[in-house]
Amino acid sequence: MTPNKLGYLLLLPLFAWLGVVIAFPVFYGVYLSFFDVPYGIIKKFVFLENYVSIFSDLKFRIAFINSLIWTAGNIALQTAIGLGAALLLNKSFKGRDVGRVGILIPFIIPAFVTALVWRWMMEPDLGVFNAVLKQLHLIQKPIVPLVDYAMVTVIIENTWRFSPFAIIFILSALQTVPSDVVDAAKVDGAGHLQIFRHVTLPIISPFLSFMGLLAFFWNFNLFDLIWLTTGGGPGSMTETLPVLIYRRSFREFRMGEGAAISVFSFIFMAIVTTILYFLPKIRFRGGKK
Amino acid sequence: MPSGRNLKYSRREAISKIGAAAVGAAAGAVIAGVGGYFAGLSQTAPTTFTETVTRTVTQPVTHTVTASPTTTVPPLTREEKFKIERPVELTFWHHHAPPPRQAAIQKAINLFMKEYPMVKVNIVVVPWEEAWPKTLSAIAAGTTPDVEWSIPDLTIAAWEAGGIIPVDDLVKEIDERYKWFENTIRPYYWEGHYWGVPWSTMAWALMYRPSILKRYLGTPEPPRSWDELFEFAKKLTKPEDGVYGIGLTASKTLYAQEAIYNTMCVFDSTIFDQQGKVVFNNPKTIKAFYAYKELFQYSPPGSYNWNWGDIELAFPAGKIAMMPYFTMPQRLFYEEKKGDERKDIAAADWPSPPDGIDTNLHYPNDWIIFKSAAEDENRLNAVKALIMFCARPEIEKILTAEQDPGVWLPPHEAAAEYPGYWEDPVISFFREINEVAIEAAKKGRLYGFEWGAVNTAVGAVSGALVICDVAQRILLQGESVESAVAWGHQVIEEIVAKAKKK
Repeated sequence: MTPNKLGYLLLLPLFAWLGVVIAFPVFYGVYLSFFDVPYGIIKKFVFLENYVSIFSDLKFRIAFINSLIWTAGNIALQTAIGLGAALLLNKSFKGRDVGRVGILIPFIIPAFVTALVWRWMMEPDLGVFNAVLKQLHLIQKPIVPLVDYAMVTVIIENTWRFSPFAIIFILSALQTVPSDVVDAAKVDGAGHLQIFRHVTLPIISPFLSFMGLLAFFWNFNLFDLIWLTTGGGPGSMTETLPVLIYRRSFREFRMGEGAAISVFSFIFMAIVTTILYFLPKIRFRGGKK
Repeated sequence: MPSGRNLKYSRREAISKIGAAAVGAAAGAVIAGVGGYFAGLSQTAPTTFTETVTRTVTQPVTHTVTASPTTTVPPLTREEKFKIERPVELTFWHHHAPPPRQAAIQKAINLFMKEYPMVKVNIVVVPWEEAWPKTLSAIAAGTTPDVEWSIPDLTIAAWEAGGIIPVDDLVKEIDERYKWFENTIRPYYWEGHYWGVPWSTMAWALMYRPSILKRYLGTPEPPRSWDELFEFAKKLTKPEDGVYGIGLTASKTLYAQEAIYNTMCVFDSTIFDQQGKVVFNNPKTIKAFYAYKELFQYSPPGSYNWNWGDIELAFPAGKIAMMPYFTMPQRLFYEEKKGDERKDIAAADWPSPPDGIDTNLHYPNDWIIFKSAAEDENRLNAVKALIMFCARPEIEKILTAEQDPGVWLPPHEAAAEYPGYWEDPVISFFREINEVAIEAAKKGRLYGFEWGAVNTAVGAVSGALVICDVAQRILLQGESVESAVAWGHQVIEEIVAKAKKK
């Protein structure tokens, strides 16, 4: 057996596994989206009826817009906080190692606990959030963040949870910045801001791009934290597509429609990825000109 | 996304490719979330078939029952055994994760296995949140347990999915022996059959803290009329002391749905009429939501988002003086409070408006038998033996009083009158509460099931939490009651229309 054939043979179990856990569910989901599937029973072929149904559904449109706001808000905050904290933790100071480990705590706390803690923190008359604002004389009467600013609040909650990942990711990227390049820039008289803009940022940009992509998938698909904190409410204010998929499939038992929304999410993410894939090339070529 | 103008092309391309692969995986996971659940067999529509149960009457067992002067217990002079000819292992799903509950259920099952040594029962705890997806996916994939504890909404969903068999014979047998509370068995009847066998019920009453009432009103007596309820709630709201008159919620949860319906039902407001037509938008519902809105202002500011656990913390903590709720938490007061505080919990009949009806929410819980169990007569007999065994008053006492006193209430008269039930330490300590609870259980009703399952889309309507959406529009988003109720009516009609079309 040639080394090539042996290599393919050894890869077979992996491909079989990927086929079972990724390809089959994807294709089966697409297949189901063309059927009427009440209560999990495939009843009849309805072709595009499920798609027509979801596109004419106001709840779907609201959920899609919510998903965009949710994803954009999270990526922006997580990247900004991740970058800031990573730059800080990249400096040499006493207690830095403790800080680097401690920063991971929110990331390792289960979503259920995070949701519970944040709900209590946001409690109008018992929660620490209102207590601090009252102590600072910034408010007269309690505010109710999970009603008045529901989407913003859950974005902040999720950012708190996922920022450690961004911080560690960017920190590892910062450590790939060669110190001699930085030193050379200093010798040439560059200030901190100039070094960051013209040396550090270009070097870590690929990492930021990749992290942005990951953050896009994770946030766009995130279900648990929203479900546990607000259940998609008040009204539909925090109902994103994953929440709607779950509700439509397992609360209203219209699984064909749930599958159609899933397929829509899949296509939407594929389009965004394609744009991200081609956009840098265009810019690169433009730069060359 | 950073533009990265200074990057090498190949590097960026590599990153993009990795990204594309990751998108595929992530999107796959989303679809897998739905597709994976029912990646299995397509099922045919539910079929109806009758079961003939073969029983062998064995040696009579004499039950010694010391009847109290106020109770009568049907004599249990014979013990029937279902014909189980060879060893069989059953799988039983329930949804009660707390250890004391699991211990009580295990105790009952152990007693069953002792009496039926050829039957082994494997218990699987499936949390409530996963009950619907797991049950439906198990039906679709043909991997159901033999028997499961359910509630009317889930029973309907399992029936719609074609997974369960009728249980008319068991319902009739238990009724003859123990006499069901009529409203407890009513939600399980549709299409000419019973589809669930109640093992307990739950009922809402007005729970209150006498010490708080005494502190602010000078008397520990609860409100007895609708007007008094509002008056008390208002007078007991003392934000400066951290005390509020009543605990209600506007969250998007099953708890909220029950709390809201508990107010709707006393106005005789229903989702469907007797013919199953949607009648949600009517003057009674509008009155009910006005009442809920008014009462809600005496609930703690954070209660808009409460779920079960939150109110169960707020009540013992003395943050709320009254709460319409299940007749609990008795065990907590009994085991964890000291001195006079142990008795600082009481229950009263949930008041009703002058033009309303005397009722409250109740929620029966039932056994459902899956078709897979009916494929083999020996297995089916073992399942039926288990259900009949657990319907005995002395076993019901374990499943209700011992599992969580006051939460689970007897579903039939024999269990409610069984002296052993009233001799349970917690039940007897809070006897007055439990007397209120039993009466509430007898007169309670459940949304969508007031006349039985007259519209089998009720499961989808309930699952969509439309009532909660209506409440949130009114209480949190400032919409008028009339407009929100009209919106809710339209949404319910859409859900029903889609369910009927299927």
